[in-house]
Amino acid sequence: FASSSNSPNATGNISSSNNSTPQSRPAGFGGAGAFDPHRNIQEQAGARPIWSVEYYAKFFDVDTAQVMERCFASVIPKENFLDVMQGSPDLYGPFWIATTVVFVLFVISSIVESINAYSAGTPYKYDFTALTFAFGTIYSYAFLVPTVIWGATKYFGCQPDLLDMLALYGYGLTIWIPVAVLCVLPFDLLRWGLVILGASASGLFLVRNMYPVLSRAEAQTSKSILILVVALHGLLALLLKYKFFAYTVTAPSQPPPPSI
Amino acid sequence: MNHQHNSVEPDDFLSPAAPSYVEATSYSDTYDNPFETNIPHRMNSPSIEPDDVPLPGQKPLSPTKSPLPKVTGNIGSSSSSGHGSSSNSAPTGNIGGGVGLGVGQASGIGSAIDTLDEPVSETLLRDLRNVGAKLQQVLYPKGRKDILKDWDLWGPLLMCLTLSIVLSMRAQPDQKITVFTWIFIIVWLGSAVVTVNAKLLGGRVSFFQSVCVIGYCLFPLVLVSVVSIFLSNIYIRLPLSGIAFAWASWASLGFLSDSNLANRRALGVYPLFLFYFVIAWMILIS
Repeated sequence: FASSSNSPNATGNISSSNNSTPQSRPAGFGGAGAFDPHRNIQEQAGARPIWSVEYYAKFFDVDTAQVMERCFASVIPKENFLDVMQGSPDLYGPFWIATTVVFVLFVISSIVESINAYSAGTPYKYDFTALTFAFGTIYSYAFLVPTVIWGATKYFGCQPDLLDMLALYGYGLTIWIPVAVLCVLPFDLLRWGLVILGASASGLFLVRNMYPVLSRAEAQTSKSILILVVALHGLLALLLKYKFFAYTVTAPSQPPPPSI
Repeated sequence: MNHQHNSVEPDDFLSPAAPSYVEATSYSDTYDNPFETNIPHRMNSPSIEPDDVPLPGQKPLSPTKSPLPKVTGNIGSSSSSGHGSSSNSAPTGNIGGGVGLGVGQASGIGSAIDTLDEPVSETLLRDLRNVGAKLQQVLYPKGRKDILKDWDLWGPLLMCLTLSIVLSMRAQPDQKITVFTWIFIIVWLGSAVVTVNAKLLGGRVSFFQSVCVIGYCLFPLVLVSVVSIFLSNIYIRLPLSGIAFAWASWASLGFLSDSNLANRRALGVYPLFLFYFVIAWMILIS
């Protein structure tokens, strides 16, 4: 980390002074008056080298209200998502929503498995490899797939924006958090219904916002890329359903089914 | 080559009473270094402070101790060549300041000869007491709030290892390694990611101090995990884990709250909550 130095600060805060002038910082919430991170990031936008942390701060230049607004807009799509983002896509949302989805899936799947084991009368053995699987699936869907789609559309001349793609896919994962939480309830039809609902909602969100970009290619290519997007989305939904929200017939005589 | 051997024997070098090394004012007067043609007067160079000048915030040398010889790293070129490396490296190691990995350097400046002579138990106990003081500050934040500014990574390492070992002990036999690996990765990478996230959002946190604080605030969770070895009932574990999670989050918030995040405080604090929640959950289901 090229910039911050561990210089002891006389005021006793855990912070390092990047500037030479020590600023008096009110503790707690009241920091808005003394220091504005948005202005700080915008001012320093050109000044930092590419290997320093502050260079990437411009992709994280969002406030709490903006992130919440974007999350809601991805679940209830009232207007074009790119308009909601107002031209400044961020990476905070995709990364932390993906991470939250991973951990929520892990937590929910462990609850689901323990309910299964409880009703089957067998002792519950938790499964850590579910966490590995969740990480792999969700992270590749949130980061690898948009990059691939971006590369494909770029190849076909659609002039896409990588950050927009990442933001679309990242925020599109938001719906899986409530879906996962509700899938705790041990009713198979309910789980199927929720998964289909979530998949179609986020799928529609994706397709609707990618359509302007995709339509810049010729008709055949844009149709096939669209089909690819939908297919990958469906694949994700199926994976999540069978891996994390699996419903098992529980009877005391049956051994619990293998979860992997 | 004129080797003016002043009356310093190699064996006398470590003794505080060794006379003549102190009086030497410049190397070029006393020794001919066969490996350098032009030795600058490093003694008078303003960029290198003598070792007996205490750093800010550290206690100065007691007057009874003789000041250290003013070595500047000419390892292997002095007459005490046999002990040259070991004796030269002790003082030069302190030039780096008090930002070391907690190996007693914060209190060891200017007294390297003393820490060399002290019993091993004293060396270990000093660090353990340091860790203990920080833990107490985390658990019950009274007294000096800036005790955690003097960061070290021993505490987080202890917490992380204890947690990993305890949780992997309770895992199924074929998953012990997976569990250990995951806890280790989550603790270290998680602390790093939470800190980098706060920095990226525009907050002003020091990386290692933040990692140190997050690691120390794991202590309630480590306590609960040790207790859960003996208590498997979920109705006891659930409130215990909940309390530990709340305690850890509250403690780390107290230290990391003034990082100037303005409207983004929730964005910076949420990953912290997620981190402790995940660890609390893993303790719960172990």
